[in-house]
Amino acid sequence: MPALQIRNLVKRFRKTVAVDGLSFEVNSGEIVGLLGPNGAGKSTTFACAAGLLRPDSGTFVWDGRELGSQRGRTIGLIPETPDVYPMLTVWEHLVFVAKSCKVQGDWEGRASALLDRFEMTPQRDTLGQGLSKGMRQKTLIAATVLAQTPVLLFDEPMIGLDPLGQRELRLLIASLKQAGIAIVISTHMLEQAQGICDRVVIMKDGRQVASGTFAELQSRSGEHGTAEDLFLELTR
Amino acid sequence: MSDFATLAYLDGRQIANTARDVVRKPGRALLYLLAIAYFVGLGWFRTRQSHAAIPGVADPWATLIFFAAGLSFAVAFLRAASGSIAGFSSAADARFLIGSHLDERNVVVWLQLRNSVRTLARFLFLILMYALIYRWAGRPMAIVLSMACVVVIGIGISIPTFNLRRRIGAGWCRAIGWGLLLLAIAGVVAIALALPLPALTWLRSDVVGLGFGKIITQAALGNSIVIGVGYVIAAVLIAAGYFGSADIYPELQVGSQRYIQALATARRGGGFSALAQRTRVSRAVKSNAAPRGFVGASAIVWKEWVGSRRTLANVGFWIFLACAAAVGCALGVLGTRSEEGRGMAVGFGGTLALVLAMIGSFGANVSLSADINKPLWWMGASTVYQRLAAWLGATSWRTFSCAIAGVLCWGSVSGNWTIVWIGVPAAFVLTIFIRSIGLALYALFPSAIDQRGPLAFARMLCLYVALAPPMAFGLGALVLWRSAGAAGAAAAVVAILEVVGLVAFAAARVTKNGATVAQAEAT
Repeated sequence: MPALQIRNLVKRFRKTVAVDGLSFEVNSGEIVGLLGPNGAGKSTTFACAAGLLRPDSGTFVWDGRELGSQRGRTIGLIPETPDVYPMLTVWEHLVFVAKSCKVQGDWEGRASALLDRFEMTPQRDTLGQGLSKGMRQKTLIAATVLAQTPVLLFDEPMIGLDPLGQRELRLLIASLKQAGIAIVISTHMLEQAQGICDRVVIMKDGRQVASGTFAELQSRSGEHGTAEDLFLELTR
Repeated sequence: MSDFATLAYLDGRQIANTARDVVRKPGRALLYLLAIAYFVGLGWFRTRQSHAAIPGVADPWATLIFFAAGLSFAVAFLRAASGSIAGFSSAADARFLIGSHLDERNVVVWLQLRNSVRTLARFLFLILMYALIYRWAGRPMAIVLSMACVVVIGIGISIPTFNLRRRIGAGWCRAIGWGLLLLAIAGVVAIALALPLPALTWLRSDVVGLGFGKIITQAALGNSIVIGVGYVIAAVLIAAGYFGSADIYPELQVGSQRYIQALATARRGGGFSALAQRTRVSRAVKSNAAPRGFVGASAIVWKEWVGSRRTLANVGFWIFLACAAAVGCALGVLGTRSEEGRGMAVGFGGTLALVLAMIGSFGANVSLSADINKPLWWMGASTVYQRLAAWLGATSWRTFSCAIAGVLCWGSVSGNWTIVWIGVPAAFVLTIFIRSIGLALYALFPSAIDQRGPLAFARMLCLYVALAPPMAFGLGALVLWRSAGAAGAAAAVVAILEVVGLVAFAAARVTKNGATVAQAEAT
């Protein structure tokens, strides 16, 4: 099964070490939660993985093949602020992605099907500037799915969404998992990760301080403790 | 489909959708139509005038323009050497293009061409206007082509400089940039100082004797060889950018974000805030308590002041203040030499003030979205009018302080206190006046595209129109009381009343439309 492996990732901003030797992996059809308080280095890790920042050291491996500077083609990022082109319609975003990612075959049919699946057909001709945060997120997800990007990184995806939007996004992420996409979700809210992630990696000050399933974390926290207790203890 | 065709689709659709958005809003469409009609009319009027031979730009002005162009190239070099570059247009642009399968080098070339076109489009109204007004300077089409070449070279310098920075390090690259900048400044200063000071005529002759001015004169007259060589230089720079742009995306993304941030800051506060990008974020700063009296809306003045104090804008202010004082002293020295010198100083100072007012008016972009979008801005009991008035003062004081310093030095060195009595209030009122026109037009057409396009031209036109009542009242007071002081006071009072009206208009629009003004700014 293909997997994304991040090995010994280090990223410094002058004297500040934002990510310090982080290593973890995520398999196809798996959701890994990257947990940590604000400033733990989650967003920096994602920016490095998506090719937006150059890491000081570390490697990204997908399906046994080391990814170079073009790793943005393999790893798609849905940032906390899901910016889209304000003067491009939803459909034009998909057309551009199909052309720029050189998608073969009947991409128009697939793009239309994606709009249906994401319940975005009524917004097909809406400009990016007129979309809500949830709709912009869906546009980006549809674009990365159309581009057949095998790894998706969600940076704090639930922030700014109403309860209905959060539930829709959870269902959407679950369906992407079913489709075999490797997913990493960063969040500083444990309860959100608990409902959706198969495993978690907990970060603090750029370092990995714990990892495993929620059951494993629960067992580590002792008889009376909860996973939340452990999380708070590790990240305090 | 080739990479360039795909990129053309991306930008073509955005332009088409923007045009459609403009046409759908009658006010915006009318603004564009008026601007186009003005240029068509001016062009028609000029072509009907005599077909006498065009002399072209004469020296020392041609040499001055050459060094000014050199200055813009040096600034572009230094900016890229400092890691700030006009690359991706937004965070979305960076993500979509970095994640695409397009060839990185093709994307970089496209970004350079796109930024060149955007920069040129931004200044097209101004270039066309001056090319048509100062017809003696050259052929309008040749001037536009020459300016386009200057823009492409300016943008084209960025990527090779950026690559040079990666190879030799930021320190060395910045040192080269500062060297180029000082060379260009030396050329500009040598000619600018020699204009009012006859003692420095030898310096002007030496610099003009280098022959660089001929390049400008010939380019403006449409010499195809000179313009062709310019485009060859531009092509070489673009090609250098193409061949050196393998694996540049991460640095380009960071540099673009820095550049976008700087632009946003400049649009927000105007003038000196362009320098505010260089915050001392790495250093801990001491928290500052608001002095007594800065309560209510005036707390905005304190907020802007304390914010800019921690940026390069603070250093820039002192540099500009010193420059303004130096120019004032030079004019004062010229004015003490003879009656003829006094006339020259008044003529030169007046022209300089007029040119600065025009440039200031053209560049008086306003952006309030960063403020309006923050709940903090709306908290408190003061009205939107009071807040906008405070904001106007907070973002104008550096500019009028520099202008006042120049006038004070001129008046005190020459011993002519009439200059001080008239010049100081005029400098203050004119600065506030220009900013308030920008604010009122922003409240009417908040779109950033309009701000940089036809609104730049509209701001200048509005300045002419809005200056008419103060001038009429000033003249009336002069006739009635035969006193320059009374005339200046009457003009200033009328101008301030106009400022009050313009701010009230902007406040009414912002109050009525609220956050939609900020949203419209993005379109």
